[in-house]
Amino acid sequence: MTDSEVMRLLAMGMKQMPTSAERPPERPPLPPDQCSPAAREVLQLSRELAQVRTIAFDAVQQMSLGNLDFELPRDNAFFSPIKDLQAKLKHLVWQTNRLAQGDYHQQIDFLGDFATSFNQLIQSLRERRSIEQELERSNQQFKLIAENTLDVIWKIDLATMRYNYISPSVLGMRGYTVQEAMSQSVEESLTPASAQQALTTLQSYLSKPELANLYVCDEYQQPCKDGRIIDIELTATVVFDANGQPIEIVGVTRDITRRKATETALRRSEANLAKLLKRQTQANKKLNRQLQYFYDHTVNAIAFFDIDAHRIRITKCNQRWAMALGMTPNDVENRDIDDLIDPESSRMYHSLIDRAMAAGATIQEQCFWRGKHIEVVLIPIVNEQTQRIDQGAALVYDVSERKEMERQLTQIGIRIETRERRQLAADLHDNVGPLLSSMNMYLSTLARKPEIAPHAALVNDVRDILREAITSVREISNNLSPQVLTNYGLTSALELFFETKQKLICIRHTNTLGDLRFNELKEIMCYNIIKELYNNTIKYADATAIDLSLSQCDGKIFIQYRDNGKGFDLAQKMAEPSNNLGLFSIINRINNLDGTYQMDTASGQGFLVNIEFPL
Amino acid sequence: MNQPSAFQWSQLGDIEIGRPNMGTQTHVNVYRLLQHSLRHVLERQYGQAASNDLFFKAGKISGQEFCRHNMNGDLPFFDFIPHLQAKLRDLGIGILRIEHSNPQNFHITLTIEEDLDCSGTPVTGQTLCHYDEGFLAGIFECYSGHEMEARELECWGTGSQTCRFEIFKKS
Ligand SMILES: [Zn+2]
Repeated sequence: MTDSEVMRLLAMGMKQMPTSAERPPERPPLPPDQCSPAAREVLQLSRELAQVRTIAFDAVQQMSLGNLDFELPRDNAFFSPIKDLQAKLKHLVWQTNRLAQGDYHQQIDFLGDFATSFNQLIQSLRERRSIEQELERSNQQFKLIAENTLDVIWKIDLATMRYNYISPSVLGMRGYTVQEAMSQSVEESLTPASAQQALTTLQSYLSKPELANLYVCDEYQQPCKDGRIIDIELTATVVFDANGQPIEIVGVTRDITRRKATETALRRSEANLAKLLKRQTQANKKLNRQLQYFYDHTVNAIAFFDIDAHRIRITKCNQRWAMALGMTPNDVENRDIDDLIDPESSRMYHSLIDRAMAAGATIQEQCFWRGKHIEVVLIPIVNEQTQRIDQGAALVYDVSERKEMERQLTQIGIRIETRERRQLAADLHDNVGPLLSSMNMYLSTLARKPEIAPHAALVNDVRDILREAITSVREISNNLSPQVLTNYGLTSALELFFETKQKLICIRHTNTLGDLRFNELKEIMCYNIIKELYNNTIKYADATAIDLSLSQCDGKIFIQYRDNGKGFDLAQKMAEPSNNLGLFSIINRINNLDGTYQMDTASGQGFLVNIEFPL
Repeated sequence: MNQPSAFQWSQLGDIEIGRPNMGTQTHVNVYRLLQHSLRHVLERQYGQAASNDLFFKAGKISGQEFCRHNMNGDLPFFDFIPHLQAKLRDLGIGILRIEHSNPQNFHITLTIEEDLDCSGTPVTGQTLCHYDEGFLAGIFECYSGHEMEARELECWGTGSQTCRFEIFKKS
């Protein structure tokens, strides 16, 4: 075969290729053996070209049929646009699938105009869905409200003036089923007065077209199935058709019976409260006036102060208070207490306030201040906001006069007591004593008579009893008013007193007073104090020894008394109003001597007291 | 012999401090120069199969670390995909498109257009993006918590203008 014959063959084979939709022959003619190598190569290439054409044609045809799952040869760049299209279409299919699943986030960034249209389509789908969702939500809300609200939703057809919808909640509000309520006329569904009011409102509403779609809200009354009348709040609007003709009324009614009742009750209690407040203010004013009068005229000194850390600032005080410091209230107010009074007084106040704050309660104490006996009442004031004590009030009484009166009264008492004792002692000593002695004399004479001899034993017994009586009278007389004390003074009286007691307890008595005599009353009180101390030791202390020392110095008498007994809790004993120790009588006597004392004792520690008083 | 220490993200260094003037970007040629010269050396030394495997392994580490440090792995699958798409585009790695996806078994077919590794390279009949295979497998491994496999089906090397990858759970 010649090359030109080969060419003709080739031309025949390729003739259809650019235009034909038909598949080229499965087996294109093989190049004959006898043709030239060049012709052979051309034939071979044409054969390959035909194959590529077929593959490409098939691929595009597959795609046009919607089949994207085909593979193209992997060593030929000729197919790359087809592969590219295939990949994009595959992705488009996936995107469309995602769209079908409701995923509207897809965007196409290829395929030119198609991409624009596709993206617009998605955008409109997105919008439609959001509108649908909105509608669905609002439908559900309406359903939720209509089905669950206690309010009754209704519609009235204006043509027939009859209800054409009433929500089921009418049963709960008025006791009628929907059917029963629907069968009622509008007039029947309201009380006559309310029906009249509603009609008037409706007519005026319809006569003003500019009110279209406006809601009106009014209060009416409605009858219930059980005969009750309920207060309702009615909100309604008229719905107009496209031509501006009113067609129906849509409204909601709410039971406000409870609210009305509450409102009425509230109004009533408000009025009461106002009345109360007015009365309260008047009472307050009166109380304030009374307090102010008391504050201005009382004999008490009153001060209010702020407490900040350890500073005390007077915020307000009355005339009395300022006067005690020789100032006016204006001088004192808003000043630190440390700047106003002497250090000792300020220490006293600090100590009182510290204690009141620690106790968190009012304390009351007697003090000796500037030659006066005063009683201070300290009231800590708790700040309501911080719950801390940051203010205080002090009330000060001058109790000097009272003290002085008490002292004088006691002195008079003692004087009277002493005089009576002495009288009694004298009577016993001067009258009963001699009588008993005479009796004794007569009895001795009598005993010597022979006719009495048989009764000698009896007479002796009587004489013994008589002797005892004489001793007792002498002792009682001495106790009542020790003759020795009156005649020879305190030292001798004490020596005599202890002489008879040495057998009971070891007494060490040191006395440097000697023959010193002083005020008779004071001597007696002093003697009685020591006797009382001794009695306490013997009665309660279980002691084995007493140390007593008396001395004088600078016009003062010093007494120290000590026992080694079991001691006691001083604070506890002092707190007992009826303590048996006679402590109060001792303290009372010391006070009457204008003396001071210091006691030191504790359970198991013995007892010690130091007393001093002016001569 | 000492075990080489594990890869750490911090080894990348603080580029903002290190390159105040040069910035974070570089020419794609530089990246490709590194990859192709490395591939050349590795193929010479260990053969083509071993070299491909090494690229896959390296890609997997970088995919996992990339996902851990640059992505939000808590997103649901269909939110994770656009998130990944945006990341790959923003970092100039390529345009990701999904052709098939099954979030239940993480079987995914996707294409990457204008791929950083291979786009524009001549046709050789061979896929080239073994590093990408590893990178994608690593990302989905980190996201899914399963060991993942990735195969490149089409590549510029096989005459396609987009690289197609199939990603699936390793059985
Ligand atoms: Zn590739």
